[in-house]
Amino acid sequence: MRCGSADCDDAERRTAYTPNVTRREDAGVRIGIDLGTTHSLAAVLMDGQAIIIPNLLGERLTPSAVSVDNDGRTLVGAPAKSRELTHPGETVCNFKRDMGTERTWTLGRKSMRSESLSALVLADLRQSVEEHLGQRVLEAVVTVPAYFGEDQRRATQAACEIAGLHVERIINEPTAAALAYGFGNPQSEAKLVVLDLGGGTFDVSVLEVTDGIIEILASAGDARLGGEDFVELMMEHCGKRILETEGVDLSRAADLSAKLRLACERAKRALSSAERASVVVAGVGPSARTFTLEVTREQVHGWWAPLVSRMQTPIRQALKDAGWMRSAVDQVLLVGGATRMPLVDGLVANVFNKEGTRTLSPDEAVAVGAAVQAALKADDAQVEDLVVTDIAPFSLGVDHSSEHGRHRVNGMFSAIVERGTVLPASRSHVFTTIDNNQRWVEFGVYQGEHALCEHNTKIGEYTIKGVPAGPAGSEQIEVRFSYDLNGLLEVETTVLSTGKKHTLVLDRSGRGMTKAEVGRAQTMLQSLKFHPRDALPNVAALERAEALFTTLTRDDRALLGELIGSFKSCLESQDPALIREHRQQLLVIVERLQQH
Amino acid sequence: MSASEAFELLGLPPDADARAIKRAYHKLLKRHKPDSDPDGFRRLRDAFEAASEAEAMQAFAASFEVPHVSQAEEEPQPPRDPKEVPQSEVDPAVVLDALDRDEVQWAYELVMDDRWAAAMLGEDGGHLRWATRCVGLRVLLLNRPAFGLLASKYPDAFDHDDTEFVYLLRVSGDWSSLAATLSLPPALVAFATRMPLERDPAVRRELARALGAWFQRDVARGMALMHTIAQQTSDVRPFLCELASEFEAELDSQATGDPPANCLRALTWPATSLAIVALLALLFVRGVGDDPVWGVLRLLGFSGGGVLGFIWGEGAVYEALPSLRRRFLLACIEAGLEPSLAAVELNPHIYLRQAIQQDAGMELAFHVGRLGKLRGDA
Repeated sequence: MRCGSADCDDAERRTAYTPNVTRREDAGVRIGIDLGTTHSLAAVLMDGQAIIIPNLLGERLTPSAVSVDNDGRTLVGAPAKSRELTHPGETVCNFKRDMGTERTWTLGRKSMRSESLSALVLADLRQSVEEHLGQRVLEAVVTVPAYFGEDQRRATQAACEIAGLHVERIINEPTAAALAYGFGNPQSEAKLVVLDLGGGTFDVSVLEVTDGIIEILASAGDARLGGEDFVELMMEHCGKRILETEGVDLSRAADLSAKLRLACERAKRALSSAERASVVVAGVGPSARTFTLEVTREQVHGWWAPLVSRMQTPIRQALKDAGWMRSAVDQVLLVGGATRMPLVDGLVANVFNKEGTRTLSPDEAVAVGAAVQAALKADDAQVEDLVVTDIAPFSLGVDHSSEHGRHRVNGMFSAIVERGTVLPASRSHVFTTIDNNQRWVEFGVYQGEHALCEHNTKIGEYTIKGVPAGPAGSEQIEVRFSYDLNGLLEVETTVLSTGKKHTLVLDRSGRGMTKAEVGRAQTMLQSLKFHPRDALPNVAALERAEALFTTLTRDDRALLGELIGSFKSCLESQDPALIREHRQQLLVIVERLQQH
Repeated sequence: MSASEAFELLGLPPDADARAIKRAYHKLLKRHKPDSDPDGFRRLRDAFEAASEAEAMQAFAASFEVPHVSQAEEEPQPPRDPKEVPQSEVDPAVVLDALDRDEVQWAYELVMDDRWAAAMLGEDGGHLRWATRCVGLRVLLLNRPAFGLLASKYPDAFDHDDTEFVYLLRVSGDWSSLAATLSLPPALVAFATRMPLERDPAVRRELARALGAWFQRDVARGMALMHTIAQQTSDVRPFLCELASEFEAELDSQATGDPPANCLRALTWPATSLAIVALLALLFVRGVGDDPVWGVLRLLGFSGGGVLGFIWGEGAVYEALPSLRRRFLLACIEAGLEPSLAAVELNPHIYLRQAIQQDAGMELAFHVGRLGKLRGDA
């Protein structure tokens, strides 16, 4: 074992990222992946049971974090997350929030988009699955938040391609949670609302479960409302206090800010079970003072009130779309790690006048649901009695002009497949010409809910030529949209008088990153250096200890420093048994110090 | 897909109820899963939706004052399908007289069938009056051509001052020939003949008044009416001004002179908020001005009560126009109205209840005042 040494031969380098593996055997598994803002995980259905596949470190959740260490090697997951504290400049988290945007991060000497960073996490998950089960991953179903538009779904699919995963189906996270529920409760008959408050997103789904049939009736979400926002709000309030009492401006101290984030995260978690907690940040200001702030649950809930109110918006939207009264709801399912916060109970009680149900594991339900969907898609016998009908999460339509008296309004959005339509679906709409002797009609295809196209997302366009001449309004053109579960949109236009047809197919590979860009991203990721897989537990332990080290003071700090030093020298010994023993000791101490 | 095809595909009789439709759909779903049989599923789903809609329409029509008539009577029923009866043999008067027991049901069936409606044209308008009394105007509308025909033949059978009547006439199709035979108030004629409204302020005022009454009776219809009106005028603003001042006048008539109390009192008058909702909807749809949100703010400035009413009726606004509401509040926040107004938005019902309990009317009035000032500045 040569962990920590600078050189690393090619065979080892390839182990962590191998998109082009082609193995001959047909045996393989279909998995579900929850690609989350803070955590990701993979699940599979086997023998009628949903199994969460642990990663190489034996953990069920893999932090969605990527970092590059001092040797220029790329780290994914827990060791990368630890480095957020020690090396905030070389670590990226929360990149899912910028999915589908042009934003890039610089890691080492590479510049990466959200797609590539996500691909690293996905490849890591895939590899864990393949190593754990000894089988190839044939196909994966990946989840996205309900509010994700076509562009973000497309970016997610590109990430999967880069990671060498075969993905046709992308499903909504709350739908997945509902599937997990339906899978676990096949006999039940209930009207359900799923609230999914994850690390970065809040999603709501309204659904009906009847004897193995799961009908998704509506979904809605908030793009920027998750556990992280609760932490950030807490940081803001603490930051103000630090500025007042210590005179240190956090916005100018990235390392301090990372420490405060960690302290706030801890306090947030502690407040889920305790009435009060303290936010402790060591090494504040030039004299390295320790900042301590006692917070009570009540006080923090006061800070968070605006976020809780924002959660009501998608809830109401989804109920309205489903045409339900709040009182019609039988059960409110809570999923997502952040629903552990007691204030979610308050919200549920307030809105639905009931208690939320936590029968599903909040962190794992979405991945389980994705695995169920993967089985459904393959017509697996394990899910024979399960049917799920899902809906279009957004409206799809075309632009048109309309006349009001003497005024012509251009760029109005006319939805053809409306939000909430059960998929797959085919819907049509007839438009008429608006000018005399109008020979051609230009349509833009849009996704969104706004009445004006400029506020929606354009996903395609086409022109119909050869419309027969005639007075305005004399020619009719039928526009038919066929939209399937894999996001494939077929637009067929017919000039009714001549019967002339024109077809346009828009699939998810038509936008965002091109094939060539995906290929380039693959090549770039292949050139990254990784630690050998068997050294990863040591790297993770070391990174975790070093992260903790920065938050400690005095005796604790000295103790941990000692341990880190001795572990490092132990690594030089290259004795696997000795290293394992040392690592376990180190982790026990880290665990204990973290609790203080 | 037609309703009959849909029922057939589901293997149901055409009078199956919603429960039966759903049960049949669920049963077939297991055979046509969206994943493994997308085309089969699409057909099934279309059938389910078509059948559900047909069922809902039937239930909707049946809900209008028409009691459900039990069909399980053993005594022989009069012919149910008029098409089986040669028209010349039918004396509607006789049939109707014989049917006192089930008159409502029969009147409904009569107006729903073109040939029966035509048969009634041979009589004096009495049957028609009787039928409308029994089943109401809306059911008549379900058979639009017959209704248009009846209305032109028997103008006396209807109450011409009734806005609803005119509205129904208008949507019933061939209005222009009807307009000539009926003598209607000028505003309603203007409306029904799709005359540009800006030509005559008196017409506008009259319509505004009529609309006010509408909103108190039936919000959804009021909204629809507003929308139609908006399409009939190239510049909707003067009309909205007219309408808003109508509402304001009504508010003033209820005022006690004390501004905050007046504002709070406005809360009890739902028409205000609902009308504002409608106005907002219009402004939004039409994109009045460079920035609709400013149009909204300006409009709200008409009346402090309107603002409070708006907030109070926020539940309705919320349901109707979530995206508009966000933009409106954004504008409020940009205009420096944070945090109180934002707090109101975040949880209006609770906040307002608290505000009233804690006598915070003054604070709200203050914000309302600032809104008014904003309007002035703009």
